Amino acid sequence: MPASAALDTVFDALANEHRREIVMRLARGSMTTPEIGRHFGFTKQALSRHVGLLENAGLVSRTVRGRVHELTLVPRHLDDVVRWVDELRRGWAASLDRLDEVLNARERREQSD
Amino acid sequence: MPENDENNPTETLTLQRDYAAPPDRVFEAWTDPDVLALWFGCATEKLWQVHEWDVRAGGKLHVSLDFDGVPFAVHGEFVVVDPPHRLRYRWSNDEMIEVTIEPHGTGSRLHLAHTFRPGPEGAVRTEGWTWSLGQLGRVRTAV
Repeated sequence: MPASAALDTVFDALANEHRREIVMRLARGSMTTPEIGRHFGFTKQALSRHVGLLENAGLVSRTVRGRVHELTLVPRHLDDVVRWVDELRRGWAASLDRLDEVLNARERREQSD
Repeated sequence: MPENDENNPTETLTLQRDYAAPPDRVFEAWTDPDVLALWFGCATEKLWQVHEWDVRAGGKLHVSLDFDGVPFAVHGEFVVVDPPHRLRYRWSNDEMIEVTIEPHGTGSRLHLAHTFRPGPEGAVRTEGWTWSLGQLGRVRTAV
């Protein structure tokens, strides 16, 4: 099934253990960028790259509070991912069920020949 | 091509089914385009139109369907063809489908693994997707 470009960005953002951990951590509450950096032991560069990719995918939003930036999880796109994989699974499940019917129908036809 | 290694992490969907038919009949249903066209679908009610399905290592595949009014095609290539037990093919640029069929009682047991969307970076463990999907479910409950 077609995956939108937006969904590709989300998959790419989630295809990294550190970024998934950031997402999991933000699910428990917002954090400032220095807090995330300390929590995960990231260099400034790594922090900026990971946060940038998550932000670009629309998975987190940034609020500027004075000198610190606070990051909040935006769960909407996580739903898109869960839905996409769910659709893929349901599509396959339906196909494999149809395969059962096709195999049984062929078997019956051969027996009646 | 996606493989489960450190530099090319993959995420995999797996399903298992038992069939009354023996492995050679199940394998034939995957490799004979006329039979395939009867059951091989995308969404619940959408069957692929099979244009090319050249089942041999290196052989091409080309299927298409109309997805909510938008024409959508997939091109790929067979990588492993080992009748009647194993079939592995590339599905579009970055997905891989692996089918294994083993005898099970008087019938067959089929395992399907659909590997998709490998990320561009390393450092994701092989079990990454299972982990992240389970976690995502919990995240959604928590938010």
